[in-house]
Amino acid sequence: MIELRDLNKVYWMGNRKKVVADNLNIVFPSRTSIAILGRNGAGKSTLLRMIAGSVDPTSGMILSDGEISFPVGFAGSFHKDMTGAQNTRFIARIYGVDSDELMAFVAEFAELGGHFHMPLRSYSSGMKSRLAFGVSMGLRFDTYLIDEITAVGDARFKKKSREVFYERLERAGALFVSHSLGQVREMCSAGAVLEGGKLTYFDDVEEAIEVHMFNMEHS
Amino acid sequence: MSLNPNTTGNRKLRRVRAPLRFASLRVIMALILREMSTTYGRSPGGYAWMILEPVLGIALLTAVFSLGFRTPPLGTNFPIFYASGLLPFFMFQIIANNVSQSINNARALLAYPRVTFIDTILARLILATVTQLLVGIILFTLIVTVFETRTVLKFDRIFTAYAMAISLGAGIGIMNCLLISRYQIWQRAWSIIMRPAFLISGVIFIYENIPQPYGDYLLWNPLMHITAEMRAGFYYSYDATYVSPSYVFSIAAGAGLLGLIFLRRYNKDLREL
Repeated sequence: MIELRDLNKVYWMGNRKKVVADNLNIVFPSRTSIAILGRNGAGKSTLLRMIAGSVDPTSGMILSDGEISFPVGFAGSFHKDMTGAQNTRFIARIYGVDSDELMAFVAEFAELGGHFHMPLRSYSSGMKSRLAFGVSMGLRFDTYLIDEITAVGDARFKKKSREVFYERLERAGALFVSHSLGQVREMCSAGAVLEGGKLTYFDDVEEAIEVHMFNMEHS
Repeated sequence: MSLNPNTTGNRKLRRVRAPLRFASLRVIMALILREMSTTYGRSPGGYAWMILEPVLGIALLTAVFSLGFRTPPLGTNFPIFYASGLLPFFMFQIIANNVSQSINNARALLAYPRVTFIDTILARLILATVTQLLVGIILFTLIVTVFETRTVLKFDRIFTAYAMAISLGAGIGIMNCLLISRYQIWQRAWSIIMRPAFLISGVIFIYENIPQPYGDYLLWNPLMHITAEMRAGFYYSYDATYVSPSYVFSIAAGAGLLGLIFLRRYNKDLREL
């Protein structure tokens, strides 16, 4: 489970004050896929990054009883002069998992063939995304954070990715930011709506979507 | 990690990120290995270049300077005189540069909450120190065995000289790290400040060569103390009584502390830049 306790987040864009979180107190249950809904610029991604631990709240705290992932498919820290294998090994070391095991998983999953042992600068963007997604799936988190998942690869690879991800979700939860309500319905059972710094949690994703649609129409 | 009394089931709630968690050895090791494989990743030889480059650089400088003078200010052997000035000078400069770039270079890595600023700073500090120590050992051993240097090593003073160079590099590096992250212009300003440093830090002369009162003015430069201490470690009759390790250590501690205070203060902002 993840608990937001007296959470405030304010930042300034030029001289405009932006409130992402206004004294939020909420508990996300474990092993539940929760959609985070809200209009553009409501701060969904900032909220996700705060939960990931890469952005600090202005005040209050975020607590968790399990491991929370970095955004699934995050490739920004890959070094272009290192091979796919070296990049994978680096993340394995940071997270303290067995390097060889993670590398074996990623090598097979990402289907990079010989490229796995080539520097990243020779990769196409699709290869890079497959590597990043493979690394995310190779690590077992208790909560996966997904910010606008973009499916990579051909139809067969997409199907495989989805299957592996659903398998992970059998034993883990997810927080899911997406603008595609179709994806939200497919992946999430619960939802939360972020509006004007207030976050409202719904056990039923349909209810959350309804409130979200209402907000969108009345803006 | 601040543990919370509330528990669900048998698992404890923890904060997703402690404000400034102390460094973790595992992450530092991972960062060091990453640094080693990327710094010279494209050239064959890899890490060997990190050692060979300064070795060759110092050898060349020594050769050039040896042509211009009959005898060095101390002793009779040019290579050992210049090496004993250049090595601590570079030790300081390389550590300061590497540490000051640690936030800039690792910003993408901070998306992994496992990696903290402290980790990246320590990783670069450790790698630069070990590399420069290796360079020092290789060069000094080479020079002392190949040439007739007539030096008597005082290891305690060599040790002090290195300790001063390392801590000054770390202190200045941490301070610059924060200044560069907040004010891009500082990077240029610093490189201008450091340009004449090579000439006024006692690398190619010693304190006693400089007429007073200019010699005493130079002692405000902490690098003068570092090079002189190293010379004292190699030349038996050279005592360098004017060296004040506490002066150097105070500057190092002051700069480092200032940097760390700002790091704490701006930690939030820096992550979001």
